[in-house]
Amino acid sequence: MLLRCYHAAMSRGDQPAAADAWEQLSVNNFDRIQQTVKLFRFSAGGRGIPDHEWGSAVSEAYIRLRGMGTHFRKQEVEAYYAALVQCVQNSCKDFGRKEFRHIKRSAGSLDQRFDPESETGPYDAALVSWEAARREQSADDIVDELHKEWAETFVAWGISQIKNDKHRKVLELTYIEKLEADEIAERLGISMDNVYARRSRGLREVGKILREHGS
Amino acid sequence: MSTVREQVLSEFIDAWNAGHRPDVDDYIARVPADEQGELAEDLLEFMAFAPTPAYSEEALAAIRAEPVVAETLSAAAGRSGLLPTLLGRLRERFGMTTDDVAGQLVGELGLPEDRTPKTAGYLERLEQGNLEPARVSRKVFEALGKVFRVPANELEGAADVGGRSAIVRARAAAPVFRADEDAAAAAGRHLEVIADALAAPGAGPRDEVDDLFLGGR
Repeated sequence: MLLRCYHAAMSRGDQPAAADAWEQLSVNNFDRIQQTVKLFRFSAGGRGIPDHEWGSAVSEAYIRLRGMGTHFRKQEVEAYYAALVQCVQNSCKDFGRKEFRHIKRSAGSLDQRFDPESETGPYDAALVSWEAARREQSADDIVDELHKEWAETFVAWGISQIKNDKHRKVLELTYIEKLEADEIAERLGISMDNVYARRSRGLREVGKILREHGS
Repeated sequence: MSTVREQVLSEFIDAWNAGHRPDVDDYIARVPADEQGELAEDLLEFMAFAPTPAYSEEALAAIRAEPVVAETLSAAAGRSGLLPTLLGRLRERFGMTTDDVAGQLVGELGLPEDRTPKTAGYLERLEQGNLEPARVSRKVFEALGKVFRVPANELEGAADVGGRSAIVRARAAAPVFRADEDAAAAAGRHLEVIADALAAPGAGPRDEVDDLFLGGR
């Protein structure tokens, strides 16, 4: 909703309104930035940002994200999330470079991979597939308006690619209806243990799909 | 049968969706050490596209009170936007002085080395918010982006965030502005100082550094 307000304001040239919408969007996603910084790892299972650098990395990522508000063109909230993830990762890698330099007394291997002007993010390939799927899908195929709106989101597309029906159903209830675990258990008539397991496994599947272009 | 890790992940998801602002550290600490890495990966998967919670007013107020959020909210209302804040943080992270940055910037811009002190002066003014970023050439943003390894449009965007909106807001507020009766006397001495400064001979002819920092985009 805020992203729509932002684009509507941008298209009518109302910079203050666009800035306000982007500012609110940033505030609403502050926790996402903070938690993502804490979870960031330079390699799978490897080290993350040192504890004493978390605050600085969060601050830098947050400020950089705020700065993106004058030129962000993508309309979908998932594209915003993907840009946020990329912005946080770039900020974290920058802090990692500092750490590497400190340890190795050199520029560090991260320098060799880093391209500050690169716009390639971890979800780009899947975003392209999603766009293609949207173009192919006839609006008449989807009758219910709410379901149509949901089905048009990137995450929904990713979830729809999950082959295991049980995992897919639990994720739909988690993301669409935002049901808590006990409510999902009641709705589907399954145990809490099953909800925990299906949520976790489904999440891994959809994460893989969204990063690896889908099946 | 689920594992402790799966249960903790699920509890985090519920707390997130409910807008309770859960902290990943608290949850990771609840699982055995050998499962913590896996849980962190699961949480990261969730966090990437987790629905934005419908935060309560109380939660939003707490987020707005976070130091960096409060700092950016206040900086965005200023003339120079977020650029001074961002430049300061980047310079600090790289452990560079303003002179160091100026030295590299001069190289990136292909300027003679003797322009470094003057460039440092402009950079200092930018970082202190004493130079209108709208006057700075795009070439400077691109060169700064290379020095700090950040996309130039993020730097430019940080400069524009508050800058533009503050200008528009200031214009909108103009009709309600009324000068106090002693305004002429109070402003007069400042105008005299400005007039003197304008009349005084410059330190030298305008050069390419001035053009880059004062010539606009």
